[in-house]
Amino acid sequence: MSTRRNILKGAAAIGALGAFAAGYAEPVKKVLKGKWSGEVPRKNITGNAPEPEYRVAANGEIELNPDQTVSYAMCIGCTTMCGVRVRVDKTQNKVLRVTGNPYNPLSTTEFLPYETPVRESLVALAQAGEGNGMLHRSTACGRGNAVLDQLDNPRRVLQPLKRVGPRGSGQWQTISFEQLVEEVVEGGDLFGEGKVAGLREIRDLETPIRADAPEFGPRANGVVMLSSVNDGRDNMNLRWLKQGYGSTNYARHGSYCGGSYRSGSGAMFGDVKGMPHAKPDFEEAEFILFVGTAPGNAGNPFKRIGALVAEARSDGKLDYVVVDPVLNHAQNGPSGDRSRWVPIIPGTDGALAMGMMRWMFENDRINKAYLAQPSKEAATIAGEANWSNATHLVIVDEKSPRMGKLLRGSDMGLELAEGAKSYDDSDPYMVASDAGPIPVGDQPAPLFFDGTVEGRDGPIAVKSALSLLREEAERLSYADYASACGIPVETITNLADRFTSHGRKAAVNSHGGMMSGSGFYNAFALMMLNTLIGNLNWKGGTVMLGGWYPDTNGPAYDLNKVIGAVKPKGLPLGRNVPYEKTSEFKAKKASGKAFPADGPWYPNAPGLATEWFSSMVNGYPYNIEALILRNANPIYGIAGIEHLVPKLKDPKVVPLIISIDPFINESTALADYIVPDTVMYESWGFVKPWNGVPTKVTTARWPVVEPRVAKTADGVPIDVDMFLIATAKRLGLPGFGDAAIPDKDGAMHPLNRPEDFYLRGAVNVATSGGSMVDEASDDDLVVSGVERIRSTLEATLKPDEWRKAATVYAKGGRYENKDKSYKGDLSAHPFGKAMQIYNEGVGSARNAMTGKRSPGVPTWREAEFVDGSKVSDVYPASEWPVKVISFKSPLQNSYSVGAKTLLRVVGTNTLNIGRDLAESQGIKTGDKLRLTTPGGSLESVAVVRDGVVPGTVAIEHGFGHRRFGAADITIDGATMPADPRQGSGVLQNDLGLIDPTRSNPGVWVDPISGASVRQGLPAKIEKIA
Amino acid sequence: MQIHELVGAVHEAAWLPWAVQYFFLIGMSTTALFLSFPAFVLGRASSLPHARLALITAVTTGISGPVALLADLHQPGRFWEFFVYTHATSWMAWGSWIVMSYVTLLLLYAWAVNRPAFYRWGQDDWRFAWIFRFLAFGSPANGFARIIGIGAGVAALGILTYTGMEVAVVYSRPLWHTPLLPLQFAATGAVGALGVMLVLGRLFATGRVVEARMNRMLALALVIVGIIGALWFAVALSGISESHTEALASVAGFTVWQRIALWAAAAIIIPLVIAVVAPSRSGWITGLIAIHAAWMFRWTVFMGGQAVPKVGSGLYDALMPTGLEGLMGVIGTFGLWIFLLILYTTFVPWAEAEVPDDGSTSSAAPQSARTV
Repeated sequence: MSTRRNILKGAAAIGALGAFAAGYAEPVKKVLKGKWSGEVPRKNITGNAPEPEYRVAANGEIELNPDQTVSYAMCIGCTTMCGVRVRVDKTQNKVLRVTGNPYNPLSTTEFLPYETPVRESLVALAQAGEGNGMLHRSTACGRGNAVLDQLDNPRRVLQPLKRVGPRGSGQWQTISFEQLVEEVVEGGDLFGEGKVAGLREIRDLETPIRADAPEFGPRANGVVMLSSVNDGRDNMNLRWLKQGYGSTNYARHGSYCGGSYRSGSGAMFGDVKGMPHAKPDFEEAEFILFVGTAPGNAGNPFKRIGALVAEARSDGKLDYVVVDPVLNHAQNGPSGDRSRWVPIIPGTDGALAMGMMRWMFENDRINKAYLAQPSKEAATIAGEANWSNATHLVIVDEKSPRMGKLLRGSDMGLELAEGAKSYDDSDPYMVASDAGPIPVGDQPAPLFFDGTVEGRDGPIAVKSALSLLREEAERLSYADYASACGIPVETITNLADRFTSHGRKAAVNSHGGMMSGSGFYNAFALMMLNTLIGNLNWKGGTVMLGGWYPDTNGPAYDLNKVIGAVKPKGLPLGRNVPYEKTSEFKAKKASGKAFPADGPWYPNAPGLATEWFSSMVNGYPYNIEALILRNANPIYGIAGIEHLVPKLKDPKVVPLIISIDPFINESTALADYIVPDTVMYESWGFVKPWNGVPTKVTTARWPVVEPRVAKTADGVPIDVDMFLIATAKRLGLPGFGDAAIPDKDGAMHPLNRPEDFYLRGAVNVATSGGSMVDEASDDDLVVSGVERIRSTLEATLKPDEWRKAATVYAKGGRYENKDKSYKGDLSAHPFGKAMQIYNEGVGSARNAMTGKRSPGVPTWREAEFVDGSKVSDVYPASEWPVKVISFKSPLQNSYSVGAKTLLRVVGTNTLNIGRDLAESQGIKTGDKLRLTTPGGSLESVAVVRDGVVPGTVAIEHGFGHRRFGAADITIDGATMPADPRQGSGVLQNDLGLIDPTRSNPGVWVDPISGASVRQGLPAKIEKIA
Repeated sequence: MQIHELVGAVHEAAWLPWAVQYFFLIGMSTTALFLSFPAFVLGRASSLPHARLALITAVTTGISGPVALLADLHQPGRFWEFFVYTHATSWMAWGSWIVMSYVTLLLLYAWAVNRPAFYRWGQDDWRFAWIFRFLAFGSPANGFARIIGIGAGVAALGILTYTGMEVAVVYSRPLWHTPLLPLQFAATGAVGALGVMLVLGRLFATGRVVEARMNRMLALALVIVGIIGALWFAVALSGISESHTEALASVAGFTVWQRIALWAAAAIIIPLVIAVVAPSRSGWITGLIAIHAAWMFRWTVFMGGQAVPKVGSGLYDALMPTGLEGLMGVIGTFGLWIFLLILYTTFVPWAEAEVPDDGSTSSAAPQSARTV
């Protein structure tokens, strides 16, 4: 045997042994750890699962777990803000689980009577009776369950942050709360880029913000605040900004959320600023037409709607049709024909509605008995639950200076009441009669009228509102409507037939699908279908919210009142007022050419955050000095805003941006200062549902865990409320400090900490509505965990108050009992104003860019840009053959991406493409595509599926983030690296358009509602490699 | 009808690459044991050359296999719990006893077969003679080797049964839940064992005659594997066995599985053709392909099988579920096996193993031919 061979063998043996050692290192390590290679779980069978929060003994007795609490609080995982039950590990100050609050109608179909003691509510959840464990089942949704992760999100902002380096660089330093307050109030050379005016300097209530245009109010209007949604803390924001600081510029996210729907609904309800809307009575309706919304998919209160619709289509009497470009899970196979999906071309819902309307007029399927009532008195006599202006006469005379207005008594030369002025509330509306126009009275009036009447100043051409609507409906043929919306004529007429075959037990519902270039009129038209069958306030028809127990002005305290309050003056930044009010108009009119204005105006819209950004970057109508973002993320949410972001990064455009947010989102990232905020179960507040609950609801939120944020020098957790209070006190604003809140006897109480405000709000909730809640027992406090805030309650409130407030927190709010839903066949809480078949404000306003009027009744109009040119002419289908829409995710929203559990369930989005489009372009599932609009381009993966209308690409919202965890965050030099999962997917808003016809850049918006357009974007698609 | 899976969950692979190694090694060990029987149990001296190689294969894989199995326990230190807590209805629990018996009997058998040579090496005058004196236990007698061998054979049948069954009983995985699976494990195990023997034959230059003979045996084993495979497809396509049909349906639609099927067919046909056409000069190539085939079959069944979701559509994308750590298991196991091969072929007088002497024959004591 040669030595060489032995050496080779030896070397091979050593190598093999080395591989063995390396490979078995891990098992050996495990062996060395002893019996358990990982963490030793606490229990053999249940592992590390926490101990149950409580046990129910066989006799129904509750045995509490002393280390845990079940508290009733409020979720803010989306805008629904359901009442939930939060299971807390007291020893770890940690939320373990979130499910539903059985008192809360948003989480529970058969919600418990409010007087049920807290202890018994726990029993009811366990087993309400033999075989009845599901009766009071109360749930959170998938997102609600998962977003508790956000409390412990490692990227939470816990300390005040100040930017280092240029805006948006992702570099931050922590500063103390006191330094934060000083710098934002006093200003100075804050970033080494020159002087920045502080809030104190900007709060000039005398000097006009624009010397040449006093109508825009004082310099203080240059501080503007954008809040995402009222999470129960808006009152504090408004108190600070409007009554305290004196700025008029406050807006929420509606104009880039569902604004067009709300505006269209508001036009019918006669309030384009408050924008009321009704929802179907899901429990009693026999037929519902959902258009541009999906029951149970999203929206407030989607969880309740989902549950009710699921029950109603299985065991109840409900049939429904969902009209939407994309099939979502609203259609339910096992329900057979009870749920149906009808695809529609994006943004053309108005054509469907007007087509249905035409059929209803032609086939006499409108509710004449309802529509003929011109007044409340007439409606009452006729036994109607509501009335409308269908019979009111409208001036349609181009020669009349009152063109587009409703005909009033003074137009006819009628005597007015003592002290009344022309066209005020007492100046009567006129209806037709055989003897000419007469004031509305307590009798029904003719529905249709078209003629000339002899007015005070001569003949005037007038038509009844319903005549105008019928004309508008009959303006186009069925074939025209069908070709516009892509729904066959027979389907349109069949839908109209079905909709009108259930008396008043039918309803139309809509929402975010209306965010198209025709959104306002589409929504107005759809909602008008409800009015044409007179279903408002009827069981099975459409109902408003049953109301709520308000926190702000109850019998105990007046939280709305500010002694020495400022009354903000001036036209708003969003241009949601008539152009005619401006100096610009007067000057241009004087020079002979009043139109076009330098930019669009929206007299029939609410505060418009979408337009703010155009205003800011263009300085039109004026420049601002400070933008305060409150949990808002417009940079992610507004379609097309990416085009404006470079300008926002320039501190000369908006010198100071403060963001109050728990996370660094796409907008917060541009801030100069970030103020930390409490998250969900750490904060205070009261909310009501948007609608869809027939009983009164006030959901309460309170800190069921100790907030993780840093504290002020006085030991108060830093959040939006504390920031506003502290800055207000430093600025000396009215309504804050030691004597701020008046009680019913006029005595003043302090507002130095958030509890001072919210606990008094709780007393109002507990005592308003003509009744009082029971006082919480010691047992209620212990069982509900309110014991945690007992000392704060006792220290803040009066001895006879605190236990009542404690009840509100122990039960997670205050709820009217379910048996109060109806009075006979009517909603117990009816809407008490007229439905506007003709909206005078809309019908009489002139478009600031074209000088033209728009119809005051619903109509079908193709999408337009602000100068009136058709979008399909500017971007013709020959070049842009595809339409893009977004749809809401049932799980992810715009701010949930950091919840790691949720990301595991739904981690990204795709381009959903219908089979026909895919086949025509040779696209298969999995192909990489580039989707391009005139506004931008994105690349993603195709999913070819049934259930997307031909020619359309649908994108789920909630992905494509650039911030949150999608980018590195550097604080005090330490970098938290990005987590690419949080940047997964694409954002449809990146495709959003800049309106090419605007001289000052601004995103494409609906011409009436001013809401951003994200549905039906013109696009083209191509396969890439 | 197209199903879109909207919600899915991530599953960790329960069977790690260690398990692949165990099934690979133990399958070869048991079949190699049977290939050693013609000489060492049945006493056919003509079979001695390949029986010696078979015994090397059986012993080295028989040791390294259970070591891999230990590592597949997520806490290897707890292997003893199998023996403390018994479960009469569990194939795996029975297996723990079978493995122990098999390894013990296998080592005893190998010792017995080699005892005369140990004795001889112990009689030589050299540095390590004392070790071999100790190993020989004072005598060259090994007539009992046959009976121990038969005992080991019974245990080996137990191994083949339990390893096949513990996988085949998994109802939730159609791909595993087929009665043919135990037979496939056995047949592919034999392919692997013959592959190792062919490679060893080349390494130790056992000659063309032996090589040709082993290649013919390999060809036979491959034909059996092919027949079982064809049967599997036939049964699945015929629809007479629901579980087979389901097994095929669970993977048939995926391109990756179609490629695997082609790969498997190639892994049978190519070595078969070579072994038949050129049996005496192809040991390296047929041997290595055969080893790879046996390994690949198990990897596909275990790792690929786990990539088919129990609920839902599509496949989990990772065929290597535990990344580098999983790969280290494969490398480490091969390291141990190769080390044992070197150790065995260096320190055990394997080439001098003869037909065990039960006293019925008397032959001249061969001369010691130490390799060290």
